[in-house]
Amino acid sequence: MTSRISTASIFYIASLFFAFLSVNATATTATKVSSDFPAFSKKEIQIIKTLSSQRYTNTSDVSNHVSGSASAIAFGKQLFFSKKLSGDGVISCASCHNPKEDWATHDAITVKRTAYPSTRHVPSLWGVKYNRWYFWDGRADSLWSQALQPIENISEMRGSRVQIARLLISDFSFRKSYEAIFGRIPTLLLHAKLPFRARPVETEKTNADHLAWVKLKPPVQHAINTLFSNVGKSIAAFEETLVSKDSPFDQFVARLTKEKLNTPTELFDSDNGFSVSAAKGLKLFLGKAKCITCHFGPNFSDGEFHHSFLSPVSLQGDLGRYDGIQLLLTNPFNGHGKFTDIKKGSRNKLDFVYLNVEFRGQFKTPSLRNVERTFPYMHTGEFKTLKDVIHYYNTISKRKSVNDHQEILLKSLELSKAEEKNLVVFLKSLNGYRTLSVAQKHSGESNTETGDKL
Amino acid sequence: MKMLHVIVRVFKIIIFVLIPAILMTGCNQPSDVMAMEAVQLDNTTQLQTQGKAYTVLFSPAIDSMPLNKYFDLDVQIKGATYQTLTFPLDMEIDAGMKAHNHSMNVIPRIINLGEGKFRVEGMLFHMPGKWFLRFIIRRGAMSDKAEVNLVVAS
Repeated sequence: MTSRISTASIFYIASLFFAFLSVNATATTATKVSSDFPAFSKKEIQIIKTLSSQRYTNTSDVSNHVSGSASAIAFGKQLFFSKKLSGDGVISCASCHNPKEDWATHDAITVKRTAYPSTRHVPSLWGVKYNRWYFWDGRADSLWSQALQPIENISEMRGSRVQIARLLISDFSFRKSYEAIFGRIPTLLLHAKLPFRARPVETEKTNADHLAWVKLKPPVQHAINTLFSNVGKSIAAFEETLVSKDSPFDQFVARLTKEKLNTPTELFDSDNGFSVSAAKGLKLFLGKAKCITCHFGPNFSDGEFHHSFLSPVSLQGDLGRYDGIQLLLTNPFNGHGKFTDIKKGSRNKLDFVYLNVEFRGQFKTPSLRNVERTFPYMHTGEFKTLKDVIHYYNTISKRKSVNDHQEILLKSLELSKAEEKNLVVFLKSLNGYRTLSVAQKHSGESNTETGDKL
Repeated sequence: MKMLHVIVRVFKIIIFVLIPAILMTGCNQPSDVMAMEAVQLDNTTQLQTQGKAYTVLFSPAIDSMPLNKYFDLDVQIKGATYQTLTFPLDMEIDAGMKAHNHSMNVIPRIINLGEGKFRVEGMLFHMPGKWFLRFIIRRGAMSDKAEVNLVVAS
């Protein structure tokens, strides 16, 4: 009996001892983390929650009546990857917005995949649905009107809207998909004698494409424009599905939201990929580095335009938003045009746009979702790494300003090397899942990119 | 010696007349409007104009103005003692971030509803931080202004 009690006691004491060791070890870890992990104020936590991908809204585009339609998404994907939309049949939208390069291209300014060099870096399509304006200079006010321009751009796909009309009439697969969504192609178009290619080129009236276009009767031109805008609307419906979620940062915010945690120690979870360094970077992002001033909301962008003081040469040669507004207001596919689905009399952001000399050299704030993978950076593509970008903004006062407008907030940030590094680590925590489930489901094509954690 | 007197006189004119005149011209820029003390009434903010001719009431209030979302502003101009105005008025609106050296990226549409009431459509504060909001009220050739500072939160 004595022996049995004694054994139980020893076992009990040993258990208590190991339990004590275990608790003590946890406490030691917590203390260590607590001292390293930055404390966030209530105000900071409030702002952090607004950055989560959970805050993405699921609204459709009021200017596009097929926005969110499953059949339009599938047709749009078919068009997006088709080289038949280009003038020479060699490239597609995906040639420059390559899914393997995060719907962008890793080339800098010169786009080697097209016949002519571009003057700007190809932006990624991640989160493109949530932009207010499109292109670096905002010369389109909807995703569908944006999608039309590269098809006819002489530096990009070099196609024409008449060529697209001919393709939809003659290609059985395309025609079937198109008519299932938008109804029968008008007999007017089916019986018209269409040239091989034609498009309006208002800046060059002697252009062969333009001469061929003006020979077409206005009702035929209108039918072609309607068909062309429907192609843009389908491509846009597909592109709207490119939303990145569930990054390590989003998981960190989910812990903030769900578990109502209050102390820095409780927020830390070594398994979720959001490191102490990333947290320190986030703290800088919200404060000393001032990134939050322009990069806010779940898309990490204000969707507006700013001067980033890049090389003076690029400023003189590229006026950005200043030219973009003029192109926007004269675009027949804009929100005031005949082809938009915005209801007459409803509020339209175009009503409030104006031209201001201060807009010279301004370019759109890009999203930071998946930013590590969407290199190179800036509209010129002149920085290869995030480290270069952070260092540029950290030392910006050494750059020259411009007369028209001064982003006087852009000053040297006085960040240490370690702080620059922490900011980069935080930006890397914005890499998320590649969500393509809707597009994949309706396209009938497999896509190895779907669901990859990167 | 006479020449020296002339030079000194010209110098005095430059110092005491021309330079102050230039400086005063600079002060006539719209930025000289002083921010007013705002009174909060539920979801309405109330201001007195600089020349004390009018009271400006507007909603949403300054602490409810959204970040980077278009919004409309309902404005009512009343007399200094809150009387309803029966004479015609015009109103202009301006807003910007002094620390950033920029105004709004939009020009809102102002609809005059009569009796001092205005609807301002398409306001947009596209960045977080300190903004000013300025009302310029015109009656014929006379004008008066009111300005308030506000913080648009992230």
